[in-house]
Amino acid sequence: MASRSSVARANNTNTQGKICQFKLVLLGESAVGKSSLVLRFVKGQFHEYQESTIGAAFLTQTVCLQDITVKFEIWDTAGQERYHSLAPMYYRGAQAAIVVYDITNQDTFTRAKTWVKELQRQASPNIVIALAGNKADLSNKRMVEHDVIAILQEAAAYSEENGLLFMETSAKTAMNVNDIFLAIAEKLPKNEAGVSGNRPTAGVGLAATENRESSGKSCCGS
Amino acid sequence: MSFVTAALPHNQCGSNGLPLTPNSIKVLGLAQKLKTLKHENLCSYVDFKCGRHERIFAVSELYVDNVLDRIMAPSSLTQKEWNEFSLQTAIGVLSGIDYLHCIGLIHLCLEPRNILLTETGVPKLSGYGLHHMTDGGTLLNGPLGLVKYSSPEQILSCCYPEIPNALSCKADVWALCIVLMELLHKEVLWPDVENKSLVKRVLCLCANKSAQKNIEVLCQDFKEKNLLYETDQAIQSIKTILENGLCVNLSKRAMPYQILKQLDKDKSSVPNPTTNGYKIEYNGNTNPLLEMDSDEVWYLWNLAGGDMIAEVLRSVTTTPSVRTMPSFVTLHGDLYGLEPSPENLFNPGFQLLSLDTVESRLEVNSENISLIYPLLELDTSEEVSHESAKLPLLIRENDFDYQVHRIALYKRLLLGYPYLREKLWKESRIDIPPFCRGKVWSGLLDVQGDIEDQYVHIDKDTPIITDRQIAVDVPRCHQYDSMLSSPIAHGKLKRVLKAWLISHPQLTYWQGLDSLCAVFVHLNFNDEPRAWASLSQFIDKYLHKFFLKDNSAIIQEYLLVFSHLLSFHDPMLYCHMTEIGFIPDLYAIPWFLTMFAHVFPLHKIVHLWDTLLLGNSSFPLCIGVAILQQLRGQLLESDFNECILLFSDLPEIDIDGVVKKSIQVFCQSPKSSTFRVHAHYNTLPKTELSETAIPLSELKQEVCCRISADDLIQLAKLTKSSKPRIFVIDIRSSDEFVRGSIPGSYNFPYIT
Repeated sequence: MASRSSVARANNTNTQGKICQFKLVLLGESAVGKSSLVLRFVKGQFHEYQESTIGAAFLTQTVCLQDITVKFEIWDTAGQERYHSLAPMYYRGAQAAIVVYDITNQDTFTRAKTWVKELQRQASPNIVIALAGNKADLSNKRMVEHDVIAILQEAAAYSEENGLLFMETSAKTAMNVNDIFLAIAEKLPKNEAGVSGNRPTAGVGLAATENRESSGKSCCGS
Repeated sequence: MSFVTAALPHNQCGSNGLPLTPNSIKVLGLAQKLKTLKHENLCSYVDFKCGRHERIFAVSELYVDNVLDRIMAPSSLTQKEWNEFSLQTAIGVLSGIDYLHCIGLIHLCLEPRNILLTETGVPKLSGYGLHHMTDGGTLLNGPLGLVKYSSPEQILSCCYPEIPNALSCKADVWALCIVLMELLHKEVLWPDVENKSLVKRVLCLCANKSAQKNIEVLCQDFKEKNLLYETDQAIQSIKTILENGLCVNLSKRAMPYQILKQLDKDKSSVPNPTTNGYKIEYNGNTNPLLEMDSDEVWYLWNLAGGDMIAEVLRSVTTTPSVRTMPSFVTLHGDLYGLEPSPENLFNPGFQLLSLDTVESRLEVNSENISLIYPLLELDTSEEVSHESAKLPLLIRENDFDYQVHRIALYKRLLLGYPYLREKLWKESRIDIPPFCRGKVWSGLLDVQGDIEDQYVHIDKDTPIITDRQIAVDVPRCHQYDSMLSSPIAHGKLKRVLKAWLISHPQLTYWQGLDSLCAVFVHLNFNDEPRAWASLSQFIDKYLHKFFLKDNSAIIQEYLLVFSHLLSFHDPMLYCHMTEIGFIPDLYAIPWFLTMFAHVFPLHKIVHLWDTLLLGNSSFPLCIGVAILQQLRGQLLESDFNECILLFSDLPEIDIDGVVKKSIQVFCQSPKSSTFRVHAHYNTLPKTELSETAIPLSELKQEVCCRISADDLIQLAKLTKSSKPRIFVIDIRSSDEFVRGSIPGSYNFPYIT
């Protein structure tokens, strides 16, 4: 895989470049492939029967841009609507979010749009949001072709309108998986000021214990 | 006791996003039902295994004698006796077919070779599961059954598979009639005729309007042409069967039970066909094997080192692999140019599995008689100190002698349930034999009442709103397990989940419930009601209110009590984790919401739960502490990120160690330290000295658990003169302390 060459595990051998750390959260309906996307990005693996996520899972991965190393702290959340009340705990203080839907399922796209709205309303004001239409490998299999295309067009227009990054991805074939993370890394502000502007503001939603993990972590040392 | 059945076609690629379930897995799932069938005219199936190349092996009861051999071999019976024998065999087969029909199965492979005979001549059908486990033959290459015995509609349905439900047990009646003709004439019909012309001959019978005509035509093909014109009583009955069974027109052909009824009506003089199966004769020495169910014998056979697949393969001559190379392979792995010989795909032959090893190890002597026939009422508390009892659990579970003893013991305990409930608990503290785990668990969980009836009356079919969520979760739940990955298992899991949801309307489906449910379905694969009832009791006891629509208060409280318990047992670890902000909310929700069923593989969960079920509803908290303590060294060295990565990909956990440690944690925790408002408590009488509910907000401010006055009195041994187990610090002012204090306490006045 050509694109994997730009993704490397954190080795900190790159002493001359800056290292920036960002918190990224994945949101979306259940079984759209959030965990699979992360697993592909972080470990290069794919499990057909990826078990459901309960609460959330956490992983990290580092990508290298020209002279900067970007370290993603990735929070992969549970998709079921019931776990919604936990979500603010994970997206609060996040500098980036990937909202995932399943290209073969219109409902998951509708759900994705409500996630985007919630992020725009409740998350950090400068959050970089990417929309990922996952399971692109199924584009010709499951639904009538023009349905898939209709969602694709709608998603592209919606992203344009809301200033989102947009890609169709496939965790199974690895298509666009690294690319979407790289695109986010590019778009994230890498100067000190930009990052500090992303620091979490006052708590939303759940209890007081929750912003502990994010405060003081969104640093951008050099 | 085994025969090779089928190999399955190569898989195509997936169509629904998930890869296709291999056919062998589908077959295994379907076949489980067959294990539950018991009838005096059926050879019961014991187990099914999948070997290499998708080949399925079926293990079943076997009797060496069969109808084909009887037809071929010379007989000492007179013609009259022979007629009687033929009739009795036919009646036995009919009642076997009828039973299958009641279960909803069709045989479709009925042939003389598949009608086995016990020593007393009772016919026993074998091979009857093939149609069911191959989903009507669709999972198998080639048609089911021999052409000669196929009814016209069976042959036609091979040509027109799109016609649904064309086949019924009436096809079996036809096959029986052909077999009966052969049996009666003691001659094989149409020997050495090719399949092609056989099809023709069978279809030619369609031209005949009446069964009578068919009988006549068929009689012409036997050497002895006039047998059916005798006036023998048995012959008359046989004619009744044939006339009812050889109608080409399905609406005229009788069902098995109709024929049986008519035979009953015709002659009351016919000796009762139900000769009560076979009686086991004890000749001097008792053989414990004879008292065991075939599945228990099979379990022990495997424990004794039996390897069925190897034994079967040893008897099969295999083609050298170099000669089985395909001539063309696509990039997707599809093979072409292979000439599979039909014998290779489907092998009806059987391989006798010897029970000698098991038998010799089970030989009853004075030493082991109490092991094989345990006496429960003798109070032998420390008795049978089997030397194996001290070995690690995994070795015990594979120790033949030990398991023989444990299974025998538990079988009696379960029979005596609920009278022997106390004893069951006591024995479970040592270990639970895997063979009876499902039943033992339901006993420990107090599953009682007519659960089957309750389960049947729950509407599991009407669509509900949660269906979509269940549908996406079930196909990815514990799929590494071959049983749970079959479509049948998915169906069972869905039904049990829905039954639970509908029987608990105030609770809802949270992701994770599927993992919980899977454990019980896996354990009670052929007993959905018990899986459902066990799940209900389990959730009620350990996950009380966890599945409410809004469970945040319950979970918050649970996690707080958990972190207080950790601070009590391991203050250093607690401080480190709090310092780095690694709170239980971030890692422990999947632990407790699924009672670890989401984080461990099934073989570990069962061992963990073996102990969990013996504890009270606070025991899971102790397991959580035990897991953290097992990872203590790593956790203390790690920062927030490393800690959470560690838990995202939980390292190998030594479950035996966790179990031991959690028992220790449990015993060392004051009872009231794990008090939770939302727990499900047996309504114990509350006194003013018991624990009281503290608001969550207040609890959050505290770092350690509170204990009740009751516990304090008990731990400080205030009522006794023995040594206190706690160290009491009194923080009141020294004036108050002087006025009155707990004996042995120290005064450090709290100054703000």
